[in-house]
Amino acid sequence: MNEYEQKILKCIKNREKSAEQIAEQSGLKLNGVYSTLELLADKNAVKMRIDEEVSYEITEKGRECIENGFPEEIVLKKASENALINQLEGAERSVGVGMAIKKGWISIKNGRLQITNDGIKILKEGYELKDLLKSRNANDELIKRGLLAKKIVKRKYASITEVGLKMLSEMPSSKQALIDRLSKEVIIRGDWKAAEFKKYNVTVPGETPILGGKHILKRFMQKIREIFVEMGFEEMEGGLVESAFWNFDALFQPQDHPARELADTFYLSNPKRINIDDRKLAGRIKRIHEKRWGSKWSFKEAEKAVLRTHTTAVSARKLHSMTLPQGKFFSIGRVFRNEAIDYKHLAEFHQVEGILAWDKANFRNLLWILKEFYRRLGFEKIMFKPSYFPYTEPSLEAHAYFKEKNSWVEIGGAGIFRKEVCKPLFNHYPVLAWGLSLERPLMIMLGIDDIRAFYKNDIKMLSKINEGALEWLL
Amino acid sequence: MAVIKANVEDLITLCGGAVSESNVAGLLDKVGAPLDEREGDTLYIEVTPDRPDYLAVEGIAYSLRSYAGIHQEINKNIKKSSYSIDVDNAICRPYIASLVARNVKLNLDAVESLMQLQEKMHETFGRKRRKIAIGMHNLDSISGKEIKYYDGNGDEKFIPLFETKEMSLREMLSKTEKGRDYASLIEDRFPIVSDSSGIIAAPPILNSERTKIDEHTSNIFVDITGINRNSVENAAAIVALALAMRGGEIESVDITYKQSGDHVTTPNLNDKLIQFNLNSVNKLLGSKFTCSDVADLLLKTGMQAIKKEGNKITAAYPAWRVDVYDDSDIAEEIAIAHGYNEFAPAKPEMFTIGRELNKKRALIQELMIGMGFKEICTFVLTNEDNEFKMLGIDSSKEKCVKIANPLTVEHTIIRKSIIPSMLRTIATNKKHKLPVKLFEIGEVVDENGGTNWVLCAAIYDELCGMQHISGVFNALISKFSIEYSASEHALPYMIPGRCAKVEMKNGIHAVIGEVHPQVLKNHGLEFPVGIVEVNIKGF
Repeated sequence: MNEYEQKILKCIKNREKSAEQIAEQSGLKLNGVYSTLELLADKNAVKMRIDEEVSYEITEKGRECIENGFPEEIVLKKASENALINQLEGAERSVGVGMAIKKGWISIKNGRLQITNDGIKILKEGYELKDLLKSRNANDELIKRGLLAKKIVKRKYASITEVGLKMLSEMPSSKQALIDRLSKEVIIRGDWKAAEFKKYNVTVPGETPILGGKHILKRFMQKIREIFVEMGFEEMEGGLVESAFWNFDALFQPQDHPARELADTFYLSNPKRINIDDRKLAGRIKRIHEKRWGSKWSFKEAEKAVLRTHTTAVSARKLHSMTLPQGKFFSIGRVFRNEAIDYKHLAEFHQVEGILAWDKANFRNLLWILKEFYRRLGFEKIMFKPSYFPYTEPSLEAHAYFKEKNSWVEIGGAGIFRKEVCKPLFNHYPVLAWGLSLERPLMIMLGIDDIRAFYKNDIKMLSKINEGALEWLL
Repeated sequence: MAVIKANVEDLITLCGGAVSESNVAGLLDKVGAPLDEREGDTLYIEVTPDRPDYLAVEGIAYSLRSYAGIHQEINKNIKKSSYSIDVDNAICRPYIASLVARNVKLNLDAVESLMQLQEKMHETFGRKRRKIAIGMHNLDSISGKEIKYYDGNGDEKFIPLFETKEMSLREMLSKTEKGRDYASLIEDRFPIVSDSSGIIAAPPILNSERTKIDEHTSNIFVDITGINRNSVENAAAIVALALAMRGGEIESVDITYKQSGDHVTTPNLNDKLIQFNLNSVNKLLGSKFTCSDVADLLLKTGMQAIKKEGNKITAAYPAWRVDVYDDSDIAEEIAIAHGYNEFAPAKPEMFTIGRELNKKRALIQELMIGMGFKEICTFVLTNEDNEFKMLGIDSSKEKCVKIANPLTVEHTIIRKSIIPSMLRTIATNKKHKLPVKLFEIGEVVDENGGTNWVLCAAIYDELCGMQHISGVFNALISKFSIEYSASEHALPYMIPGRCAKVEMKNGIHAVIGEVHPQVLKNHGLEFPVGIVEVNIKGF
């Protein structure tokens, strides 16, 4: 509400007033009052009423009559002096003589004006018509003679409405300037003590700040990390470049296993080989491979450098470095497959893996851990199916039920590491193990069809994905 | 993982009432051959590498019958055929196994299933025909009873399968598709299986047109050659099972290795034996199965408990099973027969303390987000163009981890720095409201294959300069009370005189700078970029 609006509303607070009255009382300009009244009427703060008023104005001729006297008055005065009619000129002669005769004030005798008794009386008491003209009294004679003119005026009246009263009540009562931005000077000088604050429309959304934020995969990793730590697992980590020995041989995958082929695994030309430091361990692995798989085990093949195809290589190294016969460990890391990229497949993605080494561990413990782990991730209904991995026996797949899809979807593999894996590495058995891809459950939970969406790093897309995930990942 | 096709009617017939349309999917899950997809009458079944016997629809049917308790009598005590094979100087693929099947009831489904078995065995168990290769012949087209197996010199001639003209083996390598595909496997030796009229097979490439089988064939001769004796003999057992399930009467073939003097009779369908400890099986499963429970469960898997001494049980299992070695294998068989979902999950009563590694990374992440940066996650797999050329770096002088067998030109090396990925990501977001402030905490790999963790952060903004990005670095480093010294540095992708190198006590180093306008142009960027990369190993 601006200053004009405030003043006008205050002015008509108690009763209806015309624009002119408002202008007069408020000291505002009449034009401004008119235009502001229009605005207030648009806001339904005032109700307008237009009234027609008749008034009379003294004409130029009338003003002369007041100043110099009516022609008949002049004639009357001359008659009192017995003047000759020929001495009269203009209006006195053309109008005044006739009027004075008609009113019975004078008569004419031998070319001279003679005053009557009525005339003497008027001279003594004054001319009534002149008073009427002065007070602009609607008099037919005056109008007819063109001394008084009739005028019609349209007048605007404004009265305050409920809305107007409300606006008025919300208005700061002080007459001081409103405080808009709260500046340092205002705060220090203490202006705010006496002043009012300009009111803002608090329902208008403000300007969104540029936000920092976590990547959805990292957010999900953190969630998984928390779950593992809550369940008593310790984190482990390994390098991306690994020897075939740790990636395959230590996990009892025969050297002619299809997964080791060029079509599935990235082999490196630099570095080409990675030395197997622990020759004793290599010897144990060699014996087991040759005993079980029948063919010769080659050091050269085992020393080939690869991009790790699974984080199970990290688990194998962990088992070998363990000093206690039991422990629980987990890892979350990048893994690589020499595959063509499409909406379902990436050459590089993340794997989550957990292991539990304990001489009393059993299959039912594995099922419990899987159920508990997946439950904490938000998958309530879990089912198990037989499966196969070269390094586990028994092996299984975990499937989760998705209400939205009304179907079971595979969400991870698990099993008990074979003796052939456990014994050479740390001479204890068994070890429960399970793994899942990081991206896949996220895709299912968030309804994302294209796995590449996570790595496109389009800020808009990422924040949209994040919105969908925030609550779930709490 | 292999996927095999099966006609649902054919499978139901083979199972002899053990399965129906409605329960086939559930039962397939239970025997470890899950249904992947169904299209009309065709089932697509997943087969894991430990079960080559499942590469035959007949092998799956055998398991389904066992599981449902409708046992199929396969005559395992087979009689000898009158056929024999002499192996003489077979150096290329030294081992052969063989069998004869009479009165096989073939129809189109059966022929398709046998073809599929061969093809899938070649692909997986046979390691693309290198380890084993299977040939099936019409026995009635074979002349004489004495078969020879030897390496030829390539001049020997025959009409290969589906060809019309006679050609030499050497010609076969170039003139036929299979010849071209598999020539590398024989390294200029030419394994030949021949009867008295000439060549019947040139393994592992092609059979002869003369002895081919079709849906009218009823008597079949099989040769399986390879580089591993166990593998060829196991494959013979699997093929024998498939043919027996099709009503064939299996007969064995005597094989004599001339050089070693070894005599073998294949196939050997006698059950194999395994002794296992009931206690260790129960311990592994967390179960309390009794001896008779186990006997019942084993029967469902096609095995049979035949002897008990204390806790030691001896079980007989079919010759075509190649995945049974110790207690854990038996435990899995029993668990499958019992049903994985029938086991009550049990909480492991074992106390350990959880621990997160690298909490500093989470702290750095928090600080960066606090400064208004958005996190990204990019690939470490990349290529020379992206990493070097786009940044004006001479790639010929750069050493990094290189892929020996790249599938595409996109993936040829592993990144040494996040900066190139960061610039590409800014380019992805260049239309976004400014400023664009991004960071990544991720792996880079040095030329020796060592993995390091680094932080890379960048600001893309109209008024971004050195002072803004080095301010970010200072704000970060000040939280870790690390002493450091900065010096001017020169990098091809930074503006000369606007790039600093920072060295810290504990081996941490960083580069900070304003990206060179040519590099900005290379990435289609129109505003300045300030960038910092910090090795965070020692934080």
